[in-house]
Amino acid sequence: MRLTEREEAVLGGAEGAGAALAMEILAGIGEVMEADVMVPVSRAHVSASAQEADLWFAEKMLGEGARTRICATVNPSYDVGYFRGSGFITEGEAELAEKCASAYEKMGFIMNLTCTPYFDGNLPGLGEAAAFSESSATAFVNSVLGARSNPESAQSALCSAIVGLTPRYGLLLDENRKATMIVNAEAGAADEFDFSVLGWAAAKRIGRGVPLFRGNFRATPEGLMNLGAELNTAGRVPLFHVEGATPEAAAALDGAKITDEITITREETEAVKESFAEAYTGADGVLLGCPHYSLEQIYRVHRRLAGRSANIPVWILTSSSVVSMINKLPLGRELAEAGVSVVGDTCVDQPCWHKLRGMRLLTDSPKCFYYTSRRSLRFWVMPAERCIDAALGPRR
Amino acid sequence: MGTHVFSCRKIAAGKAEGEILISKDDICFYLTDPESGKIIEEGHALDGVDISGKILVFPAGKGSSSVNLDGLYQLMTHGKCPKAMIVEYADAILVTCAILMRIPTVDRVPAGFYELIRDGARCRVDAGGGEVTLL
Repeated sequence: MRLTEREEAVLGGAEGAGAALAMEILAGIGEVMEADVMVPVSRAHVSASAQEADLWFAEKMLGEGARTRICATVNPSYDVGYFRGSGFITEGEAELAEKCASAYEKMGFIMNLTCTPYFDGNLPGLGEAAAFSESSATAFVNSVLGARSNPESAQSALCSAIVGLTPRYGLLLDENRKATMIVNAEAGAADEFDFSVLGWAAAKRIGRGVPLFRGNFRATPEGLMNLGAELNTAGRVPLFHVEGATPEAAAALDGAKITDEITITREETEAVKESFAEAYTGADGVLLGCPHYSLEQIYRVHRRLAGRSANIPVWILTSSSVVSMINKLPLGRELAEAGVSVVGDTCVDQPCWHKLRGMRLLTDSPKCFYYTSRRSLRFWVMPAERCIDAALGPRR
Repeated sequence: MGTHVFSCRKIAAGKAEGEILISKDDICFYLTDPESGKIIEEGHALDGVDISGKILVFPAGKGSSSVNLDGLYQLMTHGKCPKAMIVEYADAILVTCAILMRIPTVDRVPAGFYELIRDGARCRVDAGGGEVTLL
């Protein structure tokens, strides 16, 4: 791998020890992946974890003078202010999350703490090179925006944010963005939930390929977001194409070597839907927003409520900037009055949901169901409208 | 047995000498006990085996970046990291972990090395010099 004079200088410490370490890691990855050069990136997204090693690395980089030089956002952990004192978290967990956030903030990260940074100011354009970790965010910027990012680790994305570079390999190269398989979706996708179900059903059969989806799709950004989220929960698909809906779908077939063609039958998608709602006996709580809900999705919940109040707790997870936006609108007050808590900064896969153990929970997200099962939470998955209807149902 | 020298590719710089420990399975460092240095993954070829201070020879890493870094970090803070790592398939996560934890790490060691090694044999890894020496 060839480094420029400036890159060599950064490696040698010209911009401080933190930047030198960042450069060392990126160059190391570049060598192993057989990248030819570094390319500039103007945006990064870091899936910070609030584990001890995360804190150690972030504080080390901060202490060694590392500062972000590009637009760089951070994945959610949880809103410590909301959960502290609620019995949901220990003081030790709260302090770890706060210290991590503080180190990232001091390095210059934009602390919007969301897994949908592309809805929230970190929006790479068509063909733009970027460094995104968080599997569903990587899939979205690659597939829906046509930007170019490898599936970065939390640390490699952080390093790119510090030096503004990434090694050129993998999905940054034209030839690796071609479709390798066709996925015929018999049932298509009429709404966002259908996209979740399709992603979940298709993931295991896709393996490591670049799929091109064919079918009758009514695509929205949120629907495509769900497709990517589930493809990367049940599988590992950092780039997909959807005919008629994503920007590189036509080019992805140009000169492509299609090695496989599969059909996701109606029976398969119906079976997935049935399995998600199997043995459902009623709900004690609803959790929406995995990935984080967009403003439009929150409006849709509000419309479904139609002035009525929930009889069980309803949480919607979203970015803190969406939280502050809705709090400036009648929407915020009306949702609160209806018993809906809109929570920023928070991921379902964090230690702040202990108290929901033993409850019968509803979500519209297979990803939420999957990750929280490791924390012994029991979710049923159904379309958001049905989750809201269940919350409005007669008090049990 | 005489001394055999093999070429390799540097992943993370450094030199180390010690006893070889071979894993036929990929390793997720999160599934280790930082107090004892032992792998605690059920069904793993090295389940219950102490990897600390060894020249660890294994095919590849597995698991996400957060969990692998945290696993190695916990081993490091307890002084239980392997001395060096020799892998067949390096990925970006393993590269990052090895560089951050300053564990000399290499790949692309010729097949002849794998034919000669056994657990407990001694070897020297010089990542920067691009050499693995079987002692």
